[in-house]
Amino acid sequence: MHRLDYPFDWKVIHRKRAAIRRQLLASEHNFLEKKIAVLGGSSTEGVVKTLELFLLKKGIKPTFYESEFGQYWEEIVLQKKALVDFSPDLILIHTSCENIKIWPKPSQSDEEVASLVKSEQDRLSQMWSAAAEAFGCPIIQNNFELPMTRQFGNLDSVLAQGKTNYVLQINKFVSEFAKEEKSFFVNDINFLSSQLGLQNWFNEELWATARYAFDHSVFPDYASNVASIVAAIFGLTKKCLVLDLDNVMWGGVIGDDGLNGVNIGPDSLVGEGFLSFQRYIKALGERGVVLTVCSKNEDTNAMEGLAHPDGAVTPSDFSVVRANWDPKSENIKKIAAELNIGLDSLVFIDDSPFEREQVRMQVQGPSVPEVTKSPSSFIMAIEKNGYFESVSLSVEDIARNSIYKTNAQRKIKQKQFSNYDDFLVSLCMKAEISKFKPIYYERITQLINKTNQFNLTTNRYSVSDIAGFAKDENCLSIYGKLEDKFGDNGLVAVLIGKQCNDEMVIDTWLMSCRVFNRNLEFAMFNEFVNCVIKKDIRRIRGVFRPTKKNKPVSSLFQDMGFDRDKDLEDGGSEWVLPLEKYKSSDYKIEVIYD
Amino acid sequence: MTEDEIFVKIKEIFQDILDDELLEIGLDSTPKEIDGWDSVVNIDIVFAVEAEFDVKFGLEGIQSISKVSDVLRLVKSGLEK
Repeated sequence: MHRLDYPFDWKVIHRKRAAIRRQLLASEHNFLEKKIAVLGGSSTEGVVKTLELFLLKKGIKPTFYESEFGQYWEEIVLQKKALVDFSPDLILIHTSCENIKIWPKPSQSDEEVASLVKSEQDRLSQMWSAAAEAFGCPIIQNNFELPMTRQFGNLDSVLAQGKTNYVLQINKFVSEFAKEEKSFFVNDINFLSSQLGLQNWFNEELWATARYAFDHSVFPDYASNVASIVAAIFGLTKKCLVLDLDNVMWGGVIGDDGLNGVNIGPDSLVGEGFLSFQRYIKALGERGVVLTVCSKNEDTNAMEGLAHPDGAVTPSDFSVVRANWDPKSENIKKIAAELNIGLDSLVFIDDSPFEREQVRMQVQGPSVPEVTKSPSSFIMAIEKNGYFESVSLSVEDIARNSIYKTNAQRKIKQKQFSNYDDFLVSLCMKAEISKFKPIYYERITQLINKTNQFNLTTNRYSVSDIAGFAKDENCLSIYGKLEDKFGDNGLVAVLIGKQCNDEMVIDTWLMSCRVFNRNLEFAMFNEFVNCVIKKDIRRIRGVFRPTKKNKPVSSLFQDMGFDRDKDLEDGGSEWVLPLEKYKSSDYKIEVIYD
Repeated sequence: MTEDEIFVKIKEIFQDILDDELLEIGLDSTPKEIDGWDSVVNIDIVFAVEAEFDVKFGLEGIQSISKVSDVLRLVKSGLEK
């Protein structure tokens, strides 16, 4: 759906909203359905209609609740019944600087202004705690754009009495709260409005006639920004960037122009733009985006180009490099297979309209943004489409890139062994399996919301749910970490059981695709069985709910020795394992149970 | 641009925004007669028309809209400026 890709054509999106919506809904996408409450300090109707399109594009099908006009604070704090009944999966607090209640006056002392700032902050935090308590769902809060006018001129950002300074202080408070609070996220409209320009942001006529906090031309930018956060919250962020080389990573064609003929580096006008792009993707790699190459080139030329001394990247920054003359669609499928990630977690950047179209036509899943010939357009496409938005900077994210690289090493190793068991033994795997611990709540939540393939039920949970399971006597929740001689894979497996009468029912069982075929599922299940026996329970019940992506585990219960008990209406099935039938298998992993 | 050409474009905007490609409107049609043309949709239409013709109606202009011919009149006077 190009029409929702950056650069956004607001006129088309505004006019054709209904038609675009119909098209999106008609696609065969397996949408994640979410209830989203949009609580407005200004009008929400048109905003919500545009937001719906961008959410659908990201794979989320929203049902909306909209507050009464301007009632965002009251509806939360007084827990309006309609909102409570709606029971949102997510709340967007759609405010703007029109919603700041009291502004400082030039006559007030610094201390008086400080207490005003405090009362504004208190009003916000009172609302946030009320929301957390009543709804326990993620909250996205707009911060505040700067006021259009400055009564003190440039001093407005210096004096305590300046409105600019006042807004900046409130924004800082919003950011600090978000840093502490795991399920609270900032929608940074202060950034967005500066990026687009405040003059383009606020439209006095639209405010006067319809009480919209910003101009129609801004709706797509705003909606895209919010949709990116929502997608990140529910684990739908992209993971991997697939890059063409010639005229993407450097100017020119390395096969024709040679290493010395291509433009990269600070010494040429053209080369500088490509260098900026290399720096940009290098930084993405450092924060966990997996970098790969798909280029029509000889492999030696590709490697030489990536090692260009004036470039910012090196060949080791890339987990997979596929340089050959096969169709790009085929190479992209192979990249996804090699990394063991879904095709829909890929973003493909290529300057050639032909290659973009070839990939769009031949592979379902990857995002292929429209770009121009200029490297700055690649950066903007990645930025503004919000592909790699993340909700926290987790150690796992930073480590991810190296995990995929070591995975590639393991694959090479695997080829040297004729017997898979010998290969597994050679890995010297060690697993730490334990009941949930608070330091891992965040990672467990992330894994639960991101994992699609090895996932029996695809139940999604928030951090507070996880804390709840950990404390619940009737729940048996364990995680698994796996390391081997190539490196630490981190926390990669989760198994949650809920006691129901005389049975332990498996509510959630999942494992990261990083560690497929390593037998960790057997080790996890073995520890789970041991705990179940300690609780004096003799039967385990498993549920399999099929989705588009979890085929790899469709026979898992059977493989584990369960008997099929009954078929469910949704195509799923229930399985039982009487524990006297259970036999532990030799999984070649040294387990430390904590 | 002739009055007829302007009218056809306005009609297309009504059809797009109200998501009804068969929608027929006349110069005398009022919000009451056109299903879905409420105050919120009116603003959507106004801004789409302004963008299409690159004109501005102004607050007074927007307030003066009570039937389709008003939109046509505002576009015409905008284009003349």
